[in-house]
Amino acid sequence: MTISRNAVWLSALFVTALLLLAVSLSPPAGRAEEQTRALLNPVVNFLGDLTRPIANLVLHAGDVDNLSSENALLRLEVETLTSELATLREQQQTATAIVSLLASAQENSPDPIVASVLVRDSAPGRSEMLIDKGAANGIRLGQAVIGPGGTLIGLIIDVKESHAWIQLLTANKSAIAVVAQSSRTQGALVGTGTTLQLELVERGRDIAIDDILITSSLGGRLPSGLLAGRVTSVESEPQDLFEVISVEPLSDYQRIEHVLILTNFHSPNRALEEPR
Amino acid sequence: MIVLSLVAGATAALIQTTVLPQFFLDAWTTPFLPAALVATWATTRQPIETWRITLISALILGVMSSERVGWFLLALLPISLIAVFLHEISAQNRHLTTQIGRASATALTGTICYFIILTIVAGKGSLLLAAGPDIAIACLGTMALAIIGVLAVSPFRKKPIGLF
Repeated sequence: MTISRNAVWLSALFVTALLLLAVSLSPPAGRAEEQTRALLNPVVNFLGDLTRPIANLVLHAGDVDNLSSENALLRLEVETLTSELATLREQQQTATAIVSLLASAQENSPDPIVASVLVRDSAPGRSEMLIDKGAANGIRLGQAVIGPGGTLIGLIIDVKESHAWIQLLTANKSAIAVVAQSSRTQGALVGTGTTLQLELVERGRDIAIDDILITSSLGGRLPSGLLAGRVTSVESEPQDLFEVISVEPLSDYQRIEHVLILTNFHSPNRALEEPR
Repeated sequence: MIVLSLVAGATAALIQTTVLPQFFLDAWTTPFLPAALVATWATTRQPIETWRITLISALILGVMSSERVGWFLLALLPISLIAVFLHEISAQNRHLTTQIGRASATALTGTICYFIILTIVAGKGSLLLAAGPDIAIACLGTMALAIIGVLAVSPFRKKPIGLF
C-alpha cells in the first residue's frame, strides 16, 4: 500500500516537473515566477541582512593578522598614490576641458542605475546573480554591470519587469573583447565557469603577469576602458599558436552586494536588444 | 504535519539560497540543505511525507534561480526516491546506527544526483569531473547535517515497544 502511494507521488511529481518544463518559457509562467519572487523578496532580504554580519565574522575571524599587515601595505600605497595624485590633477585640468567638449556632442543619457544583489544563483554551474531592478527601472539586455572598485563584473542577460539576471564574466558562455592596458594587446576574455582566460592572443605578443585588462570597443557590445581583470599567468608550448593566459577578476564576485548598471551606453549591435 | 513539512521544506530552500551562500562562497562546496532535511525526515518519520518537501523546495529553489523550476523538481526527485527505497529495505531495523546510516546514504546519493542532474541540464557536464572534490565536500556537509538532524530528533521519538 505504502509502495503504491509512493509510486503515485513519484509519478505525479515527475509529470508535474515535465509540465513545468513545458510551460516555463511561456509569458504567464514567467509572470507567475516573478510574482512569487517578489513575494519572497522581503524574506530573502531579511535572511540575508540577518546572516551577513555573522558570515563576515565567521569567515574573517582568523584573518586579523593578515588584515593588519594588509592595512599597513595599503597605507603605504595610499601615501604613494597621494603624491601621484598631485601630478594627475594637473593633467586632469586639460582632460576636463576635452571631456566637456565631447559631452556636449553626445546625446543626453540617463544616469547609471544602482541595484542590490538579491541572490547568487545557487544552482551548480551557474555564474549568475539576480538584482532588484528590472525593465521598469530602465534595465535592458546587454548592459554592462560594474562591481566594487569600478570593475566590469558581467552583463545583463535577462530582464523582467522588476528584476534582472546578470551573467558574470566567469560564466562559461561569457566572452568579451579586451585589451591589455599597457601593451594594447587585444584578446577575448572568456569565462571558464570558475575563473577567466584571455584567448586569441598570438604567441610572442607583448603581455605579462599583472597586466591590467580593460574592455575594448571592438564588437560594439561594451564601452571601452572598463577594468575587467588582471593577468596571473602566461604560458605556451612551442607548438601553440596562442598564449594560454589566466586572468583573475579584479573584485570578489562572491561578496558583491551592490552593482552599478551602465544604461548610458547604446550598443550599435541591435541583435543584443532581442529577448533571449 | 502537512503544514509543518511544507514550512520546513520552504525554510530549507530559502536558507539554501540566502544564508548558505554567505558561508560557502563556492556553490560547488555548499551543502544541500533540502537533501539533508528529506534524509532526516524520511528516517525519523515516514518517507512518503518527504514528497511534499521535495515539491515545495524545488519550487522555491527554481524561482530563486535562473534555471527552470521543472529541472529542480527532477533533480530533487531522486532524493525522496532513495529515501523510500532505503526505508523499504530496512524498515524493520529501528536502531539508531541504522537510521544514521540510512540518513547518510540518502543525503549522500541524493546530493550527488542533484549536482549531476543540474550540472548536465546547465550544459556543463564537462565540469563534473573537475568539480568532483568540491562536490564531495558538499556531499559530506549534507551528510553531516542529516546525521545532526537524526541525532537531534531521535530523543523525541517514541521508542518501539517489544520484549527485547
